[in-house]
Amino acid sequence: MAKRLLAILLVAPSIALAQTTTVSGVVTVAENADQDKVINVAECLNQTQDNLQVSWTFNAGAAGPFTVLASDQSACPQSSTTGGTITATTVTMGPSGTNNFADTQTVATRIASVFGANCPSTATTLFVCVIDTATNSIITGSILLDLAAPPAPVANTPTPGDGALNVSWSQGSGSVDGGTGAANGFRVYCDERANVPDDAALTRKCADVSGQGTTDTRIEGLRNGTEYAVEVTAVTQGGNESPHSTPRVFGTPVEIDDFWRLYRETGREQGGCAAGAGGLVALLALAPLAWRWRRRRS
Amino acid sequence: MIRKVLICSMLAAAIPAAAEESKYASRRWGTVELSAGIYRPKIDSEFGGSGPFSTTFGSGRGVMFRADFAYSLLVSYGTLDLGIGAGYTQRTGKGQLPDGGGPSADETSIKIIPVRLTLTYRYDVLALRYRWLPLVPFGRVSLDRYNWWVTNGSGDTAKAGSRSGRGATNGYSFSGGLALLLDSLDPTLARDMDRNSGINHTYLFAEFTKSYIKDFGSSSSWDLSDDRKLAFSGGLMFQF
Repeated sequence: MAKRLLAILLVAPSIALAQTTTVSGVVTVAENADQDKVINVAECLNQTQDNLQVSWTFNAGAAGPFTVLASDQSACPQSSTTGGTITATTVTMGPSGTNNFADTQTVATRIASVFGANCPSTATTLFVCVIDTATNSIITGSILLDLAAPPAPVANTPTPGDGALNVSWSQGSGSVDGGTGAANGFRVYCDERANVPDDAALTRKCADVSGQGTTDTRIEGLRNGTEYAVEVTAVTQGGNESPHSTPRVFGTPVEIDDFWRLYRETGREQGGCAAGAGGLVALLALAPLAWRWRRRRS
Repeated sequence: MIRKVLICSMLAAAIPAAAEESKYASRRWGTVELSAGIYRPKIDSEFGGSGPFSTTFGSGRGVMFRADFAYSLLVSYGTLDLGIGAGYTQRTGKGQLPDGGGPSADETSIKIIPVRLTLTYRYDVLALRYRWLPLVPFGRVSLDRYNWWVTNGSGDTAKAGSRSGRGATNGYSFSGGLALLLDSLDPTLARDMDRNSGINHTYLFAEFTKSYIKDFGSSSSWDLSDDRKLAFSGGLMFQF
């Protein structure tokens, strides 16, 4: 019994010493299509060519080789229940490296491997893990998935401005393509009514407005007396655009009498010529004179 | 009456000068004033009282904020300050649709930055000597220049034909008022403030101003004087 105890006491420290130390590090995931760090529907469906780039840096202690995994879960478990974790590639690089998923798979293929085909709108994050096989250390990075378009807004009749239209809208409701992407901004399309057919959506972008809760904007540079057609779309963070608002609305800019125009119709102030900083400079110039006078007195 | 004044004067002189300005107070050399007043330009006066200003901005009155800095030329018998100041006020309303169509969605504003050169005299001899009399009457004359510009619905400077809605109108004004020396409320705190920050005295003041901002009577200038006979303003003054 005493011999067994002695053996355990001798072996235990060596077991502890033999355990590998976990090495930490950082993984960065980017995509090269528009570099907005969000994968949208078009990128996911490969309508827009896109590739993932994974960069990582292990702290001292990692020896490689490294395995890169993609998953729908943060620790890239090999038996994911909601999707799949796939082994992307094994690379032999140093503790710091950059890998473009060298097996030439696109974002579309990669996401389809993890989440299934057709880019389900429920997918929100793609995790990428890098495993140092020498120490069995795992570090994780991620990229956002924005796989749902928002519903179309409802545009109100524009109010006329001077060479401008004040456009307002309310956020739409309902679901598009099975998802309900949150609007992160709005896009206003406009064109002269005489130039656009009634049965085709407008294509001329007149304003991009950021802000989830924004409900109005002003379109400048229009011609007074010309009727314009206006449509609005909602845009998500990743750039998914909703259908155009319906029905199409119309407005006509008119000349507005601002206060100056209203005054100048009969007022006598000439304006324009007396402006400038001359008077202020003249006033300020008197201060040093007073200072000199005071010093001379003392 | 003369006897009463004489008796009061004798009593005042007999009271220990508890509030007399401390011998250890730092030298007074200038003032900083922060004030606010009610303001409405007299632009409509050339239209008989109701004109484009009322149509665009309504009948309300705006607030003008000012900051003034002055250097003390004399501090021996009262204080004579020469100073400069600047302020800001603006009014915003709706532009008018053509053919009397009423207010439009487009906003229009008039913005004014008044600057001035001031000469102020404050009779602070008694207030600095007697704690029970913390009131300081003062008078001020100033040369004013009101820099103004009008904006249209796009936020740009308005234009009417070839005339830009930007300019400046010169003038002058006279003010008179009363300042309350706040040191008298807590002389110890006031002395500490002087030691720590160099602020000798703090005043709360109110004044009435009669302004003539019309390019010295020019027939081609609008009138930016306040539309009341006397404009009221008030604020805080720190004497260093």
